[in-house]
Amino acid sequence: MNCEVAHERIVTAAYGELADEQMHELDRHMTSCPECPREREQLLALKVLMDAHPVVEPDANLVARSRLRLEEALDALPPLRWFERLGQRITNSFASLQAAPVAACLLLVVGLGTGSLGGYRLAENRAVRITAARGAVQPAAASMAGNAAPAEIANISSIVQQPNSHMVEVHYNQLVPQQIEGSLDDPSIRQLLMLASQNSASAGVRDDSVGLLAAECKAGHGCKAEGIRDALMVALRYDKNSGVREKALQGLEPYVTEDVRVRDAVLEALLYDGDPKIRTAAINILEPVQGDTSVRQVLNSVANSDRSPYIRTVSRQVLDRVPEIQ
Amino acid sequence: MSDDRKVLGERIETALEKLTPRERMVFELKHYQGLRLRTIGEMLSTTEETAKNTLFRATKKLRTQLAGLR
Repeated sequence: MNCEVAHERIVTAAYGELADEQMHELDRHMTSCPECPREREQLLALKVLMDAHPVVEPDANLVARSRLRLEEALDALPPLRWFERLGQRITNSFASLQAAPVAACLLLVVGLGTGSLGGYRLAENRAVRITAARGAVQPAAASMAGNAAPAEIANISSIVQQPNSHMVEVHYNQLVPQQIEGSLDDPSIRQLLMLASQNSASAGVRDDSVGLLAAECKAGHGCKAEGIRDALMVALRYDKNSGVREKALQGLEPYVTEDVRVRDAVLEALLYDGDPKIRTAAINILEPVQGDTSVRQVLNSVANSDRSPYIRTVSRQVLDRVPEIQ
Repeated sequence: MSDDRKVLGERIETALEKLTPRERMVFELKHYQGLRLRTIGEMLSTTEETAKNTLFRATKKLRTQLAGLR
């Protein structure tokens, strides 16, 4: 037993509340500890001192008279106005909450739980309603389209509920399939071909559009517009289909000498394209600008580090020929 | 002699006033009324252990306050 526990037990023992077993332990401790007997003496001295000043019990008649006067004084008080009563009630509520922090915490936890559950249920119901509404819109769209080809809903632009009724006005946009026919020189056709070249859904559409644009460029049919060139460069750099990239490369061939951006795109293809066929084609396309410093640097790099031995050899041969060309 | 008792009474009263209401209540119920700690705990809606600790704190404070008188 340590002295701290012993001090507590001395108090309990002094007031006759220590169990026999603990009393023996305390006695054993007292024999071996020089401090604790002094503690007991001081406590007993305090008890004697406090006994010398007993609490004076009030006279019973005085208590009765005081209680009577208190009740009369309370009766004489004017009734509280409503806002005073409200303030008092709020103060009492806060006081009771302060007195019961555990209850306050429980209330908070229950409130949060109920709120979360309510929110979850609300979101669940809303999701069900939206699903049902979507299911209803599709047949409606079909019925609106009548015998024409079914149109896809692009988006809902606004919803207005008519007052005091179940009628709702929904404004929505449809994707209506259309077709256009025209010459390859037609700007609107070219615009559509450029859009098609970025159609990520269908590789076939991309292949067709890039093939047509590249053929126009190669044939020199008014392919000066930068939009077409940009579309071909984007296809060469990012298209996943090697066939599409190859066609884009062929379409860019006429611009390697005059457009530095095209040259850079072809150099990138030579360095990073995963298909050896495209890298080989890029070397051939770069032939007119093989004396260019940037091209020679890339060819050097390819000659040293390309994965394909054939491409490394071709690059070296081109580099060997460069002085002759210059 | 009467003056000494008066001074002593005032010192004790001051020391009692320095206790918290709960400590004073527990001390008076135990020391002057002789109630058991378990009963005091029930009266104050708390446990016997808490009542015992409160009594310990009260006696400690009183001893500090009244140290010069012993």
